Amino acid sequence: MAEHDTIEEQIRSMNFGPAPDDLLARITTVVPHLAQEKRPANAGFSQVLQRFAAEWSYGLSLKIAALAIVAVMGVAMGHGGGHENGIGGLLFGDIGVEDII
Amino acid sequence: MQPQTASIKDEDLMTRVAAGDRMAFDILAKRHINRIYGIARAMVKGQAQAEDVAQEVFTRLWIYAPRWETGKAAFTTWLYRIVVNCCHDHLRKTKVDRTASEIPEDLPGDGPNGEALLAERQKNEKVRAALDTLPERQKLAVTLCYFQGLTNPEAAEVMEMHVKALEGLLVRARKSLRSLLEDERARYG
Repeated sequence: MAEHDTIEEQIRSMNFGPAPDDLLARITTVVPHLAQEKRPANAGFSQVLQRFAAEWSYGLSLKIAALAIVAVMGVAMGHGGGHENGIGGLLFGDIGVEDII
Repeated sequence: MQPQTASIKDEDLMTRVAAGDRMAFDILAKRHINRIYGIARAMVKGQAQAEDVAQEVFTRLWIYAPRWETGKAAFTTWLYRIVVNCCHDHLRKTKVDRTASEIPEDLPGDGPNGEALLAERQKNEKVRAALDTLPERQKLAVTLCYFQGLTNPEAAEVMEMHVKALEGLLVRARKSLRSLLEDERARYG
């Protein structure tokens, strides 16, 4: 543990000093102009795309995939079973719950 | 920093930067430049390169300010992610163009503190040279946790990884650094 402390301490004690004054001056004067040139021209559409990409999450993909599977299975069972009995029949109204129970 | 600006929260300043307020940008730059420059100095070789990285960070901050949303992530986490991405881009670029990282730095002058400055710089460079041998992610984890003093969960959030994975990186980094620095101590005393 003492050895770990030594290494951590050596890194913590690194001192590069503060940023040079001219760097701050350069950043505050140049950056807004530079950034204006780099900013995308069609900000509206790109922002919509960026927002969609940012909000698209793994959890949402799973929910959509699960819904799609249920829908496909429901349709397949309904048609495959000729709507007469089982879950397909129940889904398409050929039979009631009491027929299954 | 003036007392009236010190009380303004980063989040409020960002909202103003998003609307193109240059004064808010100046306050943010003044407030965070040393921290950003420190990370850049630890991550990339040379003062000039670190300055370029810091400038790029603030350019991206200005460009992406409208995208930043209060409450999604802490401002500092978002800012650190930009720093990480800029360092990563710079390191990738300098892998192709090796000459950029080989520009020597100015040596300290012969002033009254010249010797002390030189000794400190040599010490920094020894640790930095050891850091440079680490894989990029280990180096980043060490820089954020030990040099910048972020907690493990904070650093893990910046690096978009699980805390356990970050701890693994730190363990491996410490092991490599210990053997490197001890080898050097044994060699040169």
